[in-house]
Amino acid sequence: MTNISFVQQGKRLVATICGEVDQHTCASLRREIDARLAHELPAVLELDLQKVTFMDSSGIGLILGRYKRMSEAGGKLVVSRVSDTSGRVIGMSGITKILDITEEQK
Amino acid sequence: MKAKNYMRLRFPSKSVNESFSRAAVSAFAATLDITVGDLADIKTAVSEAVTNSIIHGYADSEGEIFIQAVIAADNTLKITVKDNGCGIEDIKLAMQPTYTGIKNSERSGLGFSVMKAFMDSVSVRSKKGCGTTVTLIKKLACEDA
Repeated sequence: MTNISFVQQGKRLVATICGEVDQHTCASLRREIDARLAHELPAVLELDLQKVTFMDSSGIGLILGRYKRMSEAGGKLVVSRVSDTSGRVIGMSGITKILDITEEQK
Repeated sequence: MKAKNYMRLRFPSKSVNESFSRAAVSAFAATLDITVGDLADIKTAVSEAVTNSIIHGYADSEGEIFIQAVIAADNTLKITVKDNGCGIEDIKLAMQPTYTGIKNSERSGLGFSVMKAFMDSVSVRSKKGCGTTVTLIKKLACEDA
């Protein structure tokens, strides 16, 4: 099962996704992240992908959508600890050109 | 070429079946001793094709998706993903990177780009109103079991 957990660190919200990211699971992931963003208004949203076991292009849409949302609110999106499986799609998508991707969770 | 092994799947276009169908095809491919990287590529490409059938082919309706996977004698894997949905009017446009037929969505428009990047060959046959068939081919480097 795919699930997501959140840790608030001051103005930073860390969202750790665990499991498979596809069109089906993206719907609830998007809903949960956006609810937390609306409620907590973090300056930085960090998406931790270390525990992602599968990701297709739906995940790119999810990342880009959150990037847009954070940018519009004057905040920032950081993608951290990209796993081997999520890295394949992220690498070919070209989003690394606009995104802040870190190896370590800050 | 003569098939060494084959399988067929038929299931309703529910998004919960994206996970099931890519796992089933990759389990079939894993009957050969193939690399983890090739398995991940196949899984991702199948997920993209099935997702297209669900959200574009059948859009708001529900229909059936048919997958056939064949392993040829030379260890080439050929996967066809077929739907009887609305079809694609302009295949060339649909295959453009970042083009998406669904406006105001969070679709990245990278489905066909991912399939092309991860498989050796991708071909699409479609007619408006008559469904779409996507054929994915990958030559597998493996030891015969």
